[in-house]
Amino acid sequence: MKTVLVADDEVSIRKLYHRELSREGYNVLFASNASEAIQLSRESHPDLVILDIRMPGMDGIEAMGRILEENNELPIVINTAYSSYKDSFLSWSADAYVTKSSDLTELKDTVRNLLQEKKPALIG
Amino acid sequence: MRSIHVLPMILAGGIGERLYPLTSNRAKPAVPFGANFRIIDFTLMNCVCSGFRNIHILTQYHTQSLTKHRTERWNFLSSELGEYIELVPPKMRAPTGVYQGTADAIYRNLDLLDLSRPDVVLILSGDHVYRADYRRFIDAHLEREADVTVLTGYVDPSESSAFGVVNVAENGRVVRFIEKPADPTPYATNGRCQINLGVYCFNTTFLVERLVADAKKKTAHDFGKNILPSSVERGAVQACSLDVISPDEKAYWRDVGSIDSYFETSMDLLQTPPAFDLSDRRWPRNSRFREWVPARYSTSARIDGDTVHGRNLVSSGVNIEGSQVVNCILSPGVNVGKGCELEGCILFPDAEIGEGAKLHRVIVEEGVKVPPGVRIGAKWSSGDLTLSKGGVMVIGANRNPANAAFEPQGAVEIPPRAEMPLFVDRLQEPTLAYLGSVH
Repeated sequence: MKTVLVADDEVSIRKLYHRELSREGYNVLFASNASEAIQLSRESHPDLVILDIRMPGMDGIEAMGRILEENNELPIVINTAYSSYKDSFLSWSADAYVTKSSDLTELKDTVRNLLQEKKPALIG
Repeated sequence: MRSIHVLPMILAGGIGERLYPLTSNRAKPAVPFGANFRIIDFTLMNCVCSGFRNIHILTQYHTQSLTKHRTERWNFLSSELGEYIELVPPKMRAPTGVYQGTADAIYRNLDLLDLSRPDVVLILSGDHVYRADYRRFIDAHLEREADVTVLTGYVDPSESSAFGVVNVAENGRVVRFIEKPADPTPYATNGRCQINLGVYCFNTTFLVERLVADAKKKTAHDFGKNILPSSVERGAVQACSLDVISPDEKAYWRDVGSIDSYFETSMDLLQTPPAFDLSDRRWPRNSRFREWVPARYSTSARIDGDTVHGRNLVSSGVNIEGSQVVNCILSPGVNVGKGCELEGCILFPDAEIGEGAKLHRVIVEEGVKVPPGVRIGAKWSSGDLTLSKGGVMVIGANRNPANAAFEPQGAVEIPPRAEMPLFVDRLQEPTLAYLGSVH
């Protein structure tokens, strides 16, 4: 089972994502801020990280930089309500940028595709 | 006409191991050169003379030596006009805080690109000696609508294996990079190889895309090894020859990465005419830079009873008391006592040579006091000082020659000087009109 780490400071988002991503068959871990996300990515070795940008304290872009410095192959999805961060070069390190929506289809598709890309090729 | 926003970034984070002990307490680009300069001054002069006065220097080891040099030498840029030379050490956010390669150095500073949003990024090295008008380089980049333009030079295939060799199609498009080929002969055209000189002009968005893609892989995170080969696959890479952008009559470029290349490049300044002329009035033209140029004069000296003819480069504040000095470079504050015989020596600031000392092909570190009467040099003794393959001896700052074994231990054979790259092909005579446009 693939593990997905979600970092978001809003409880309602975490609840929604828990329900939706669990239904997709993922083991879902949660961080309520950036520091927790860095810690969990280090300790729990998730297969993919979904990062909100605007969180109290350290923001998601800074957290992404630190997470990638420790594991540069870990797929990261930026998931924010603001599309403006897309222009920032710093957000380009993410594998995908998905603007928040009540419809999680795009996010779920993105997560599925990134995890499939990462899957090692079957021999034979 | 649209103005182009250019951001120069100078890579100055190499550990400089092959220049040890000159880099034991300073960054490689801060090593004194040409009596009154530091190696990085040439790249900085190229930037400022090309009109670029917003410069980032990515540092890593012994940053303080570069900070000191910037404060003392490059303090004339005007912050009121938005000009700066900014030193950028690693952010040290993770255990792997140091830059993993040249590309990683830029990748970890994407925030700087984000802040200034340049159209093109000029990536330069802090340890090359050459003159270049970067405006011409950027013109070539824009005219050919390239994603990346690489500065190249021509060398004999026998000298190419130390460099990245570039295969270029007739339209100037780079079709292949071969990093340090064991046998460069198959890549030569008309008997010469075109090599990568480590100076790049990137469209900013293309650069960021390539850096991000590379950062996600296990690579050396190096421009020559990784970014440029992947750029050839993904975009338009053009080559621009140094002679097109050099104000020199004979384009000159040297990488001073080792003791021997440092020494030979220094000796090039003493040739007649000099292979690289510090006092060339055309570049830089700025009067401030003129003040930095040391005096150069021809001299004859009696060394070991033989008359030797040559040149010296002598900086201000040097004191020589009736000694024989030839083919030497003397930095500010150097003191040479009576009756010394110095040949082919480079004396760093405030070095003192005691009476009657004989030095042959020796680099003396800053502030070192050489005791009277000693003989130092490969032709007499190897002692326990650093001796390069080319027979150059170095007295480091933490060494006291009085304690070193200077009894003759048999001469060390000095190999003949290896031919160093000097780029003279396809030379364009600098026109007065062009030179007149240099400010």
